Amino acid sequence: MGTEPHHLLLADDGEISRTSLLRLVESLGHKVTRANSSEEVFARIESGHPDLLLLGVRSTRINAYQVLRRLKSLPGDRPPVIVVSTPDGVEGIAKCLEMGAADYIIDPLHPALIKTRIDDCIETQRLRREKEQASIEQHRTEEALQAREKYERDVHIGRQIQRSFLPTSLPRLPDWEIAAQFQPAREVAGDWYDAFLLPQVNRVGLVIADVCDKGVGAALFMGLMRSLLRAFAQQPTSLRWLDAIDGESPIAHGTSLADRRRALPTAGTTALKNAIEQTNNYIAKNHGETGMFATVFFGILDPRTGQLLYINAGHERPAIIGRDGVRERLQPTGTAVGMMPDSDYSIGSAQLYPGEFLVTYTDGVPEARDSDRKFFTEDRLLGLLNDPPLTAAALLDRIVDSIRAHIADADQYDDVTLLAVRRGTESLT
Amino acid sequence: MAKIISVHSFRGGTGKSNTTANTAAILAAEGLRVGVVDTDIQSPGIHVLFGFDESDIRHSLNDYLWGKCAIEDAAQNVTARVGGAIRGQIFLIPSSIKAGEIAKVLREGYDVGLLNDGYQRLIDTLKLDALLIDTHPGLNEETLLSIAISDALAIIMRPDQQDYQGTGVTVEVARKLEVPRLLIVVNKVPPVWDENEVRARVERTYHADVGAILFHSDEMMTLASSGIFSISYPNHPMTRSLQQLATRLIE
Repeated sequence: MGTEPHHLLLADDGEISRTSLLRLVESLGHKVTRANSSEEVFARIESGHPDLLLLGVRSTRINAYQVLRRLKSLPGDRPPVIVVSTPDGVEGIAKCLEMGAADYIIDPLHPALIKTRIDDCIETQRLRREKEQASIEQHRTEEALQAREKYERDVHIGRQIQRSFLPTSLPRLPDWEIAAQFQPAREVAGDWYDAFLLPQVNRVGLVIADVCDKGVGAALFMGLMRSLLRAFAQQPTSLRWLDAIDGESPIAHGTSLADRRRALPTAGTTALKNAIEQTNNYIAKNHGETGMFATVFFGILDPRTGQLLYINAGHERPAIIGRDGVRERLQPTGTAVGMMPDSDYSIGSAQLYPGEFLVTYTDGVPEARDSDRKFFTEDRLLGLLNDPPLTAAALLDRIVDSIRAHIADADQYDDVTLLAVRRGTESLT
Repeated sequence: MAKIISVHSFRGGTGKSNTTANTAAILAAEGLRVGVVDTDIQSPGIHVLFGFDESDIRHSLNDYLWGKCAIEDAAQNVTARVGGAIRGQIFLIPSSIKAGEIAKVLREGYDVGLLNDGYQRLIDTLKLDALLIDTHPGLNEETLLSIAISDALAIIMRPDQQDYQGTGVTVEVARKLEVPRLLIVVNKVPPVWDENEVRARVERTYHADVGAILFHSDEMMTLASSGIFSISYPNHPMTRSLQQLATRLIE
């Protein structure tokens, strides 16, 4: 039976070293280092990392008990100890075993038994180490699992937050259809859409927006910004344009009365301005250090006339679809909300004629990626808008089906959010 | 092109609504289609001059501002109530005189942009030649908007130190808002005062044209807002002054 060579430290300055034990151990193929004093024992343990310490109980310059005591207090990996004694040192052996020695050899002993003792002792130590290692690894795995669970829980909470801020139902208006689609990404993102009545001005607020970040933070900001936009849009009063009175300059110098009339508030413009400008200032001034901002399209639709007043704060350009496909894109009229305090936002105006659609979307639509990381692209989206079906809901279904087919089994990286409005053709007849 | 004319005074009780109603009657008598909007929502009153009371008001400006009706639905043709020989038409858009509705305006406010849209819609749907806006005293959002969109502004004042100062404020604001025509009307002037002297002093103070000097009149006091002075007293000197004012405001 072959023996794996080990490194043994023989701590003894007495009779054992002169016995056959030393020769025997060496003959088994083990490397033996010797120590003649307590200090030397620990110096060699530190420098040589022996697999086993053979400790002579009856040494004169090495106190076996002290060695065992000190060994116990050593940090880290310690070699197992076999105490060695002559038959008249049995009491000492018993004490050593109490103090932590792994085994003992009474010299002289049959060589086969010595070999077995040494091998067993080293094997036991190896198994103990393995077990410890396995336990550490298991602990690490459990920690990783817990972290993963916590992350999943956070994602779930974030998504719940985001969901809870989406409208549970969309306004229903005679001769108008409003439809929305929201396909959340695998990770939490910060898209939202909104549609709500502004009864004071008999108009409908339409919002689509994207907080430019990912994670629970983005979801929280989404909730904050959506609420601020809604609240500020309900505030009818604006004294902003009165700045001209206490300021130096007239409100619209050198222009005609007709131009000035156009520059003054009309129904809905105050709601738009209040919502975007006050939300922008709130976010930029109170949360500027987070670097959070959102691209927002906010439109105010007059269902009676089809007029749409809007502010496009750095958002993807909504499309108006007429009989011959995309008729108009609604360009940005200001920077993203929350980026810069006191930003200027101008108001755009568009018209929805009977049978026409307004389609708004977030960047998750053109930037949806397949498994080769290829984008869905805006061109492909615009292609789907030609020859639209009869309802806004069917149009959004068509777009979402196409995006799903494109993404296929790839991970959905960003939210896919769309809000569409269709004006009925009743007023044509 | 329809003309928008605002009538304002910095302080209350100057005769603002009376001047507005008379201007409307005079212009309508000449054959114009005239709209009168009472934007003095907090303390409405001009409807009384047109012989209107609470039960006559089907829809008010308040209903329009709260989205309950179109603004033209609140317009009442009051031509017949005014009496006299009127060739044109007068449409009144009254404000509500119900306490609860006045309180609602104060509590909730409204989108002043609706007034801008509403004025234009009145001009279009009623085919108006002139739209007169009876404003709330002092400076608030709807008053400033009304002044800013007007072709002409009449500022009414009494020869009183408080009015003198307040009128200065309105004149300054009107200049900033670049109203094309600004006329000051001095009302309730004691009859013993010299008209030319009053006119010169006011013009010197504000560097603005005086549209009319209206002397205190016992007939006006007797009428006590139960009718429109220029209709009731067509040959009175004050009626002539009011006619001159109306002509200058519309020209």
